[in-house]
Amino acid sequence: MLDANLYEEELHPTPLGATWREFKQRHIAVFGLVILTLFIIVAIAGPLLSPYAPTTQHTNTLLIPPAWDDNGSILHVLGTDALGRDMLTRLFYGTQVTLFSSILTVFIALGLGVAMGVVAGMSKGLRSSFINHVLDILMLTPTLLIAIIIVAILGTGLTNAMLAIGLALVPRFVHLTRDFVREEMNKDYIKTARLDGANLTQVFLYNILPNMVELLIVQGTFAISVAILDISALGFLNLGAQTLMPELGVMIAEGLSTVYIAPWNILLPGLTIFLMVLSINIVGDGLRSALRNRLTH
Amino acid sequence: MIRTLIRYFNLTFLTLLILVMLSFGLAYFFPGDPITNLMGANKLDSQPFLMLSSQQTNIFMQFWYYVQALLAGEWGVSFATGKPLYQDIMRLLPATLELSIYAVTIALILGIPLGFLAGMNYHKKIDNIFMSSSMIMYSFPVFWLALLLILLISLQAQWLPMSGRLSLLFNVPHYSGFILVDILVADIENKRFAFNNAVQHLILPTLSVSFIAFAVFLRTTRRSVADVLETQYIKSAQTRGLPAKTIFFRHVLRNALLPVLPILAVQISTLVTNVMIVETIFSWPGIGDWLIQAIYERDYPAIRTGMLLVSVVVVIITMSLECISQLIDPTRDRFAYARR
Repeated sequence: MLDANLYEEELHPTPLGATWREFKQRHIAVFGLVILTLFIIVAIAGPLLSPYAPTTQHTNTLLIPPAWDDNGSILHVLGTDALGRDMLTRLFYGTQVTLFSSILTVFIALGLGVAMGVVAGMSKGLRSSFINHVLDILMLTPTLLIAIIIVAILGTGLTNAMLAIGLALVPRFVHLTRDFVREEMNKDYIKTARLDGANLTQVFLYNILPNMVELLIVQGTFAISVAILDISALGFLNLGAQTLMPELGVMIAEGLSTVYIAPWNILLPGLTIFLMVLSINIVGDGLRSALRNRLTH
Repeated sequence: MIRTLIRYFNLTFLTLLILVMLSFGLAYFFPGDPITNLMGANKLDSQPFLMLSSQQTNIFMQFWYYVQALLAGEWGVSFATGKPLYQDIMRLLPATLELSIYAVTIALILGIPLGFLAGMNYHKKIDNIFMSSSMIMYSFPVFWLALLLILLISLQAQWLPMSGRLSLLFNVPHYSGFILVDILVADIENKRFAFNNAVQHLILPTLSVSFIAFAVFLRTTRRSVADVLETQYIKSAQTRGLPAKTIFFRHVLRNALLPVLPILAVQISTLVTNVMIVETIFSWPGIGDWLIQAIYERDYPAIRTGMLLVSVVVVIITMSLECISQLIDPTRDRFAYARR
């Protein structure tokens, strides 16, 4: 139905709505979002779709090439590995493990980082100096070193790898939050709120946080792509997820032993990681420029 | 300027002190006896270690002796080989540095000019091509990229060797640890062939590391060029009618290069992680390969020392880069947390 008076109609999209409008302008970003959604759907529903379990070994069909090859079989669409495990099923489960553990890691790092960033941003003097310098050291230390130390103390495993990567990701969010909080604290609307009697916690929760959400989403998206790369790298080096778990990096490491006769065993899991990271980066990039465009217009 | 130098010197010193304390603490966190973890053996003959292992010391004195031992170059011995760690690390470190230096140099030499090209053509066809390809490049998992290179170039095409630093046929005496320098200095026959061989071994690892760094540098440079082009002073320079060449060299180039150095500093830790992974895959005899081997063998003294050394190198490089970039551009003061 058309509105009677077109000129009196005022459309004020919400900030989120405006960001989405900007985001839609870039087709490549929407395409990335579609791919990412596909990955998430596969990660959730994939185990239901596949008739096999990820660890079932079909001993009479070892190292079957993918179905489009002459020797391939339609029973195993993407072939099988050296132990006769169905590749497609393992990729489903691998996407699940790698993607969800990365997302979980990022959420935890984000929570911790924002909390510490607020403390660092609102404090002054020696305390601020101390917190920030300690965090800088953590930021400077390469992820792999943190992982090696944690593995040496606690032993290998996916949880410990997530701990290491989470620890390495925290400083990003701390820096982001701190700089943002610092900047906002000097603005007039915060002063108004302070004059109204709001304490620092209320100022943060009701005034600063709503303005920061989108920034956090963008940074979080990039952090997920970093986490995926790192978790799979640790899995590949045998420092993260262990052999029985269908994690994508672990699958590449296992495929190495048969790489001469079955290259798809390392190509397919790697391609999955690559596409996953690529789609997340495209979405993050789209979000970032959408946000920038919205704020400048 | 003196103030800045002193500040950074202080900061670096304190950071290094904290790192040494951490590495000392690690010996207590690792499984097993802390003193054995620190020394790597039950009994060592050197003076600080004798004091360290005597029963009467408390933890503060232990730390003091540990620092003395570190400064004296007594870093304990490895659990796995029983050899002194100091010599091992000094042999391996140049290999890692060599790989990283070449990779960063290539990434910088290619990334910055292409970033300028993309930034000057902001939102045009050439910019879009660079942006999309760099997005693809930095989405690559570095270990998969290295494996692909080995598969395609070493195994399929057999163009380049897939592991090591130099063919075993050449016997190059150890001089600086940097293989190319060593070959140039060494007095051996077939110098040319040895040099070619070393370069061939270098190509694939360097390529895998610089691939991702290149994409990051390209994107950063492009962003900063695009930002500079939008500023008022460029607009006013254009209105005054300055030739494009003058605007570029006097205004755009200098201002756009300013943010690149800090980015390089931030990227160092990512770079080191990538170098370590690539070293493992190409069996490059560097500190990363060695550290990962150490963790497989649960060689705690090696992990502790390796971690300390790598982070010290990273901290020193990062701090000097930050210091230089602040000397160039005094308006940015990233570490003045207390004053703001």
